[in-house]
Amino acid sequence: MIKRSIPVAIAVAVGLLTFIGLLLNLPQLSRLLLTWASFLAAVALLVGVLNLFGVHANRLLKGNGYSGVLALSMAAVFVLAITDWRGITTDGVSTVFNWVQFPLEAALSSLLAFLLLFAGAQLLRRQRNIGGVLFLLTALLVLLSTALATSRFIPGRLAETFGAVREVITTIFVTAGMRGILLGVALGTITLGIRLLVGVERPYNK
Amino acid sequence: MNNDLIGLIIGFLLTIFIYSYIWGDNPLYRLAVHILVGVSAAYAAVVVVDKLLLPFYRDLQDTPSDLALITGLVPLLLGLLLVLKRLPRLAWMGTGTMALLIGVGAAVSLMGALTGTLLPQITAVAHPNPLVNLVITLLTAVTLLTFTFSAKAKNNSEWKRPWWQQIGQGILMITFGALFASVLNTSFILLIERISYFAAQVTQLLS
Repeated sequence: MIKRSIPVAIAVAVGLLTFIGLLLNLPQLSRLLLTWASFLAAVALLVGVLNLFGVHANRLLKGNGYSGVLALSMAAVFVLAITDWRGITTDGVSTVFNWVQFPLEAALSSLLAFLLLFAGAQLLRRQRNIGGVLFLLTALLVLLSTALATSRFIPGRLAETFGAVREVITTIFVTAGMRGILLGVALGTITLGIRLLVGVERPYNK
Repeated sequence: MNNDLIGLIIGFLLTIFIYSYIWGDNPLYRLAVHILVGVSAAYAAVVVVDKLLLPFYRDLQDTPSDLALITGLVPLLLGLLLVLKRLPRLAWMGTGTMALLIGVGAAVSLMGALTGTLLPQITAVAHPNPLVNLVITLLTAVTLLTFTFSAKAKNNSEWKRPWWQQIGQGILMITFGALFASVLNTSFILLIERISYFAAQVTQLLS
């Protein structure tokens, strides 16, 4: 019983204190709690990363090559970080970032173009309803108007017409849609936040 | 072979490994993704230690007052309890720390949603024309009503969305279509940038 009620008391008390600190602009109170939370979030991230390393190192021992690659890349970055801190190497971690992480992330982001095209084609096959048609028409119109705006081979009037239609769609429909989504997300966040602050929702006890 | 060339070759090979996914899932793609996960997780850990934990420790050393010591020791103790979460028998001791994190997170996100999204979105004026604003407001309300997922249960009849939810769903599809096109545009720009970067580097090397 105590094991379950103490965390609830901590979450409610700390949450309400932080909320009051932010609401009434009490920087000393809110800054202290936010510093604690950011420190603890950093420790949680470290625990998670070490757990990831442990899991994949175990899988490496069982003969999983991909896990071995993952664990070794982690170990390489850790070793470089230590040698950087000791002054044995200079900018070792930054070099790994520039040589490995940046190209991989950029390539994955650009691969999104192909994945989105495949997804669009799948949508055409599966969702043959009004929603699917609206989605496709809007996407095509926005893409065409963007392409036509910079093209020299298309008559100016056509480009202007596409641009005007796009303007109406983005100013009225997309603004309303985005605002609706944002308000929905905000209302959901507020509901969940209040449930957590009054102790109705207790994800830490699971 | 100079360092720039080594970096270029590694980057080029990894990029090719990633693009090989266009022909389907394959070992080269998986290899590249595992490297990415390993390197980025370790990089995040290194940044956290370097930019957050070490400065925290240094601050504690630089200001050795009683209050600073107490306020500094509390998160250290809670952090140690969090580490115990990895041990099944002592995992419950870290629950208090998780509760603190969730409590602070809930308060911050509640405040952020109130002052950062809800109020600005309600008070913001999108267009100088009041009629357009009225239409946007009505369509926003209709879009919001789409997120209601409750319905009256009727025997032997299929549930159909009310008309206002159907309009809202249409607006959502238009919004997603525009967002899809924007993301597609951005990713094509990234693709062109990657190709032109490697082409320029190779041309420079050959010349």
